[in-house]
Amino acid sequence: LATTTTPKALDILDRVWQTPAGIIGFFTAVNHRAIGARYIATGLLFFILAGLAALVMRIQLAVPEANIINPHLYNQLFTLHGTTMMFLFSVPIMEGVGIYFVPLMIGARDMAFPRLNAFGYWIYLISGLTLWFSLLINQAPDGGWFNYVPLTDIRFSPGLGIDFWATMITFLEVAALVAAVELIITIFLQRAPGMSLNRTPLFVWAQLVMSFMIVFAMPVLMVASVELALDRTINTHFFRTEMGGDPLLWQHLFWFFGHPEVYIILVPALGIVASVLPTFARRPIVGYVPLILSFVAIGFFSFGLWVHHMYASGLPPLGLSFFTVASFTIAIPSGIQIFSAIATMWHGRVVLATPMLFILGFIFVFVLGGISGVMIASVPFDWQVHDTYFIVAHFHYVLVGGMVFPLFGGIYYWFPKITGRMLDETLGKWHFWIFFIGFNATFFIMHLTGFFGMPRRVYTFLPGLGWELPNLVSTIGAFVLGGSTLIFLFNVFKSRQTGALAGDNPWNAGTLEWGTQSPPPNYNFEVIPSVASPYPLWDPPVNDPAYAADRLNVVEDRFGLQKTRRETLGTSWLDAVPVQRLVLPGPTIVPFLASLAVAFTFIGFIFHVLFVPIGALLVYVALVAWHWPREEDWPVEKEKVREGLPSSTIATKFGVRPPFYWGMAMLILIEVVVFSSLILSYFYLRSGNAEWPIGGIKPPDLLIPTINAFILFASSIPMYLADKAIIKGNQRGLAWGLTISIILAIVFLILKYIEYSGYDYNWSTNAYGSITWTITGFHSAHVIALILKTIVIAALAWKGYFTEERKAGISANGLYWHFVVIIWIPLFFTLYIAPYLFGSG
Amino acid sequence: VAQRSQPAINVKSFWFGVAAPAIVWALHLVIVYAIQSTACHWGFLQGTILGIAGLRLLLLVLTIAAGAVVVLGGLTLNGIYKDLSRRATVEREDPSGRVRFMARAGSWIAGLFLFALVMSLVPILLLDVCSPYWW
Repeated sequence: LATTTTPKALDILDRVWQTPAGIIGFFTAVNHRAIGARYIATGLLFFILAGLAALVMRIQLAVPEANIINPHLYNQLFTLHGTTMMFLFSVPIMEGVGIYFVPLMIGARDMAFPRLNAFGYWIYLISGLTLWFSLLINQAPDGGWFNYVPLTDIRFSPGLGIDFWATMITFLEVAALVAAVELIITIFLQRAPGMSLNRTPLFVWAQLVMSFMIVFAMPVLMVASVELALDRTINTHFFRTEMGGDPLLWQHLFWFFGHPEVYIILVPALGIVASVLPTFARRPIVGYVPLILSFVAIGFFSFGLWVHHMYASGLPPLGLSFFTVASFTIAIPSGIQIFSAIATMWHGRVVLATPMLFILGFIFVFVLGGISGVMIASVPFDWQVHDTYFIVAHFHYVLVGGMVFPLFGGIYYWFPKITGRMLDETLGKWHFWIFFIGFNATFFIMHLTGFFGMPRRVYTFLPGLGWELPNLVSTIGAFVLGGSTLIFLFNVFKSRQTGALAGDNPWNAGTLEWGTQSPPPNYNFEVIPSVASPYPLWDPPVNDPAYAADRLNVVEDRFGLQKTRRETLGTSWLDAVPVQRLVLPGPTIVPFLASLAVAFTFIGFIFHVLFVPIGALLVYVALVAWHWPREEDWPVEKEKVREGLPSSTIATKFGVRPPFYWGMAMLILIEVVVFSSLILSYFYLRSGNAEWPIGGIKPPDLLIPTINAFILFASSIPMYLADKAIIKGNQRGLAWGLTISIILAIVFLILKYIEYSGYDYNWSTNAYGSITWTITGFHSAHVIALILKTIVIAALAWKGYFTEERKAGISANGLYWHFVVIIWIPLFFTLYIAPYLFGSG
Repeated sequence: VAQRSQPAINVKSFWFGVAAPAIVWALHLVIVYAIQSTACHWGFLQGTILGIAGLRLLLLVLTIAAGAVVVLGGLTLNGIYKDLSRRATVEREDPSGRVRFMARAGSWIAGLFLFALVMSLVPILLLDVCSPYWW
């Protein structure tokens, strides 16, 4: 890209965006490239660990009746293998690639919430290490990656293994959600000028769809794993049939997350394919619009497939057939991806560099996995191969073919951008072919192993069943596969030091990340670029006025971006028209400390529930430290850069919402999914019990709860008035409004406590008690958090921090307050009205 | 970069076309599955209306109604797309590019949702609504 910035200005930019070196920098970095690179490196570390676990399992299964490891260790290894590959490798590494490359592809200097980004990474790292630490103390989970109840109930899986799983998965999902929100807001609000939705790179589209899928899928798993953890720790009965619970509730919740999870992994990989393929086919991708259609359609349909994992659970055929339809239908958008790839190659001039080889490998392997997927979408076929090695073969073809092949292609493609050096092509080709051969040797024959009747998850088998040869072949193949990874690692370490220098754009690619140096400078782009097509670097620079150097200079001045602090450009979400300057925070250790506090809470919960309130207090302190304004934040920014755009702190004055307002909106969306999952749990449990409430419990009295509900609703009024007051610059009105809202919320909690003290049942009485106490407790926890949060905001308000110009925080807090109030309406209906409408009385 | 003005379209119709098919398909799946499971489990809607099992009739009506909304959404977007295509000038400077793109992609996605809904009609028509057996 053309640049016009002076060397002095570049020095300032470089200094402002620099991450401190050494150990301090390690713990304080917030820059998206530092965080993204860590996600990728950590993801690869977990990939290797899970791969080693698989090799140990394959040694055990190489011959019949082997005794290399005992069944308990085998169970722990396959659980850790699956859990790691799904939760600690696939999703985080794809998010990591997004965190690294999305800002570069959209022409931004960093992501919307850099500190949150760092916080998410630390949570990911701590949860992953904790999960693997459990293996060292022989307490690793052993119920498989989907941990079906009742097997994982405390009665059948004593010890801490499942607790480690349930708690760490919930903890880990926080990281996944944080990264997803980060990506969504960044993509919607920070695209380079001109990068309207129809000019957005396909990889960015894929990351956007993936992130929304995470937002809708992961909270459901969090609810499921919390319910499982509660069953095990405080004796609730969500999944215990004899107490009114239902094991199938676990399966519904888990697979509502679990099937989209496959596509959460696949869609960003398809985005990588759509990035690599045009570069090596030397032409724009064929079918840009159909491919976006395909991403979006896959995103939706993936949520309509979950019951196809439950074909053998005894559900009625008609119900199953609805999910068969969706399972067949998703083959259409998946097919679009493949046909687009073929058409692009057909019309292009393909260069068979290593990244392209991996894309070809993806097409071959993924198509095979897709075909077997269509086979098992059919109920009768699924019944024949359910829980056999055919399924193991199928999902490895889908997941390794659909995700690992494109990921390796992406690594070979983007390594030069990250490091400034090329990976060795010869070693890369050896890596590809050995990986390809090893993979197919391992897994193709597993289709036959499954047809021969070998079930999944058995630690050994008897001779004479015809399983000896296929298992031996799979084991040999697994070691070939493992060997290929050694070549890859050697290539990475060698090329990192001595690889050929890459230059800015070694592949002559068309997207923006190649328009800056390799590796990119601290500030990514000297000048925020503007674009006019999905492949801006392939546009003729001379003839396109958007790329004329003088135009860029004018554009930069018009944006009014300051170079003396971290600023990037905020644009409108549909057409990427510049609307605001976003002021971003610099390096800080607070996210790391906050993640430690959260980790203390979650890890403590594994051992005793009392650690939760203690940890919550630590989290609160950390979050206050995080959000409390620094000294330099107190003066209100009166100055507007001449002809420039408003900074985010005063953005709402100009009718533009800053990113953190939308971040709050995303949090609310996540919360809606969480509460919906709880409400669905309630009605699912109700539908499975002839008597409701169970065990002679009377339906709740309505008088006090109704009065209390009105008190909660009333708390929204002063909050609303507070928001209105500060718009007019009325600081006392703001402070009083916040204070009255807090008082009303406290009254709500006191009455709630009185109401529940009067009940003669609790969470451990039966499933009715479990779900009602959990919903109430969860909502009350929200009210408590809201009060604690608003106390801090009120304290700042009384000190005069908020002004007419600086009021966006009030709007965001108000938004969340109103949400917690409004969500009480469906919860009230569920807890208090439903027992009368749908009860057995 | 100049502030690009978008072409005059009926914004409500446009967003209805973009959002409705997906939302309706998702709601349809959850609702018909929940109704069918609950009704069969507790023995609701087991009578016949006009010789058709009550539950089957309800599922048919819901599916056809959902399909109608999806068709409406898809046709709305298709109309917007055709209208804008007529008005379009040179693509690179065409301010309607993003809207046309969304209209085109949205109408195609609506087609996919319609396909899924039509396919859902087949088991509703052919299978016994509450039998635990396939035959």
